[in-house]
Amino acid sequence: MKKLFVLISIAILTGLTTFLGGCTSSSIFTYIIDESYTEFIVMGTSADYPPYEWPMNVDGTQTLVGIDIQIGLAIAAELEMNLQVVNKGFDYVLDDLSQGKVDFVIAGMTPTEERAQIVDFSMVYYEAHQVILTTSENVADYQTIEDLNVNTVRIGAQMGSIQQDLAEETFPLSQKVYLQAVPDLILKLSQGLIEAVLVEQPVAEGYLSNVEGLAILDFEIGEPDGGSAVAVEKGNTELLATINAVLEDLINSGALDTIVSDAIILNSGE
Amino acid sequence: MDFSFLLDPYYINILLQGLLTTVVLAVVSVAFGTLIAIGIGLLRMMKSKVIRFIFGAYVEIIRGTPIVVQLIIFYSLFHVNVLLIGNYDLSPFIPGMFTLFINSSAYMAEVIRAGINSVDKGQWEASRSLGMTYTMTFWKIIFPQAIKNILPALGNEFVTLIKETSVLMYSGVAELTYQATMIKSQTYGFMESYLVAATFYFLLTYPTSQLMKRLERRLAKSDE
Amino acid sequence: MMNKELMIDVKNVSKVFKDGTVALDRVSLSVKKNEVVVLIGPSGSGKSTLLRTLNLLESPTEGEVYFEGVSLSDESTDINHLRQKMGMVFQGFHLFPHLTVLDNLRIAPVSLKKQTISEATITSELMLQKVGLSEKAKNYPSQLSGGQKQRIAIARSLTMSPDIILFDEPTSALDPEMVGEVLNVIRDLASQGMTMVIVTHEMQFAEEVADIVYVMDKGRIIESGSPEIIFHQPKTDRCKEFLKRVIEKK
Repeated sequence: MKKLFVLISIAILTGLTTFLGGCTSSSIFTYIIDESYTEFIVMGTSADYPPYEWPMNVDGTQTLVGIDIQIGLAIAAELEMNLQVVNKGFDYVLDDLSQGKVDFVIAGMTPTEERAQIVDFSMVYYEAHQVILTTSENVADYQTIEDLNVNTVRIGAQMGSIQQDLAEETFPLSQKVYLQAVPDLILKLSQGLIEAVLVEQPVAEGYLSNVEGLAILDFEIGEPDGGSAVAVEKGNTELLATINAVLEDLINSGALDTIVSDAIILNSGE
Repeated sequence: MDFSFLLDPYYINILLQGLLTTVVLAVVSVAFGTLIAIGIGLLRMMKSKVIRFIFGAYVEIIRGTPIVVQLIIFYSLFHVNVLLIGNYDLSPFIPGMFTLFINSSAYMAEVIRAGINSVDKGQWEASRSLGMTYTMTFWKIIFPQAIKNILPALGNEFVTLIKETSVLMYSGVAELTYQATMIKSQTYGFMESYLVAATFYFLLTYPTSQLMKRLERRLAKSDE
Repeated sequence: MMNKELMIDVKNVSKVFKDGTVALDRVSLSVKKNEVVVLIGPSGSGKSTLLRTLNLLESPTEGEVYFEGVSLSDESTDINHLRQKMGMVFQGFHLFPHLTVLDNLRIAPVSLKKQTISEATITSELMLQKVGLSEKAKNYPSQLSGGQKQRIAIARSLTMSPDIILFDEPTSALDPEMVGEVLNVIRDLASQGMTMVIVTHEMQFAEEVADIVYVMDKGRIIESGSPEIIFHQPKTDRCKEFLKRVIEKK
């Protein structure tokens, strides 16, 4: 019976530890938009997908950042609520949405027909296009994909990105240079060490305005991916209307473009 | 490979929080799982064939299906709203714990059954022939001896559970593997983050299994 | 019909195991108070099985066993209660390894509320004295030799003050030099009038101590009688054969 005592005391001890919790070990991220707001709206996401959402060290605390987080904040602000973001595996997040545990999900999600059967989607708020950034001098030489797809051309892309996969697919004959950070690629481009960089359009635009002597080629690489939309529980028309209004506003005012390029640059800088 | 993130207290903090959650999950699951398992063990010893069948089936099914699938099922069944208590989000924590208890209890039930059966039948006979009842014999003679067999297996189950907690990663429980993933997203050190996580797991499991081996040896000695 | 003067009355007991083996075939015997009954016979003859039906460790498939006038297989019989009056000593000793020698002796009387702890301690110490192992009270079974273990086992059954003790090949698992110490204890019990049923291969000892000998073969009793007759003038050929083989072995 002594052993039973030991078991029970262990159980109690751990029950206590569980509730004392300790440090901020959690999968919920809280954003106070305004101290006066009393309620929280809950957003679900899967924070492993820059530039849409990913974790970062912000002033020593682990925070989620990215396009989708900014949109979530905008939605919460519109509703005059603070924001809680729940982070977990994608399938579980969708399950949460259908059970009403989260109010909406923004996770770089493409609105497919299958998904539309279980959730309701907002308008597409962003569609990613891939372009080639090069120097102004090179523009004339590279008018088509075939012009680039030769042994003498060195094409750069971010390591581990979809651009890397795309580069492999589209330019099998070129030399490829993969680096961790996009700024390093831009540097090499300026120095003439590589001829072209494959990046997402907003990123290219960002560098275009900030670095001298660059140009974007006129053609698109790869197919657009169908874009991303916000998901709500099926039938939640009221929230959906609010979300669509917020998205429209963001797009029309140009704020979304800024959000996107900021996020991409934030991500590229690492 | 770049392990420099280990020098950053920000990342160490994240890892340690994950570690704490993992340990808490494992300990609580083993404790409650064993208690449930003892209950099941006793129930399975009852005369009623129906009861024996139900709990026998329970054990077989839980042991025979993957824990990942069990987690998905229980997760969908539990309607716990997002609730922060002491910085644990109860929404995935409760179904996660539940899955671990249930899983642990099924394996422990088998261990307990095996432990009880491995006690020499002669012990039953000697005790009963003195006139002691079935219940007396079980609790005073058989069970104390069964515990010697069960304890090492209990330790093994604890080691197993420490690793199995990683299954909760996707459901949003901030245990060690989840935190390793978070770190990976920030440092882009794919291999490094998970290697470090694996090391932490090993630092938990190795001492435990060594302790269990020593315990086994000591128990075996006392039988000679 | 049961005879109240008989402590044990076995009437036409048969035991067929689930796999079809016939262990006992219509066996009858009886044991009177203070009698020492010995069962001998080749391996597989059913002697142990027969012994075990006497305290219902085995259930007869047919026939009845009566203990002090009560039928063991009767539904209303409280077998635990009856077993308190019957001791059993096993070939494998079966001492409780997690308890000290003293606790091994005390556990039954105390658990069954027959005695208080202090009473049981006194009784147990007396029994230990009887078997010559008082100094081992605080030891654990693992610290004892085979012969000592068996003597403790006998002491354990004595603490319940049984009316009868059943011995299932008590010395068969012992090294030869330890057989004597155990047989001595049994001899003492016999001289003190303890009713006993003993299954054994120790023929000399059997002849010495038995009041009645039953010879078994293939689940049947082939001969029974006083030791003088059985060991020196056996009637049946099978019996003669068996004894010849046994005595030749020695």
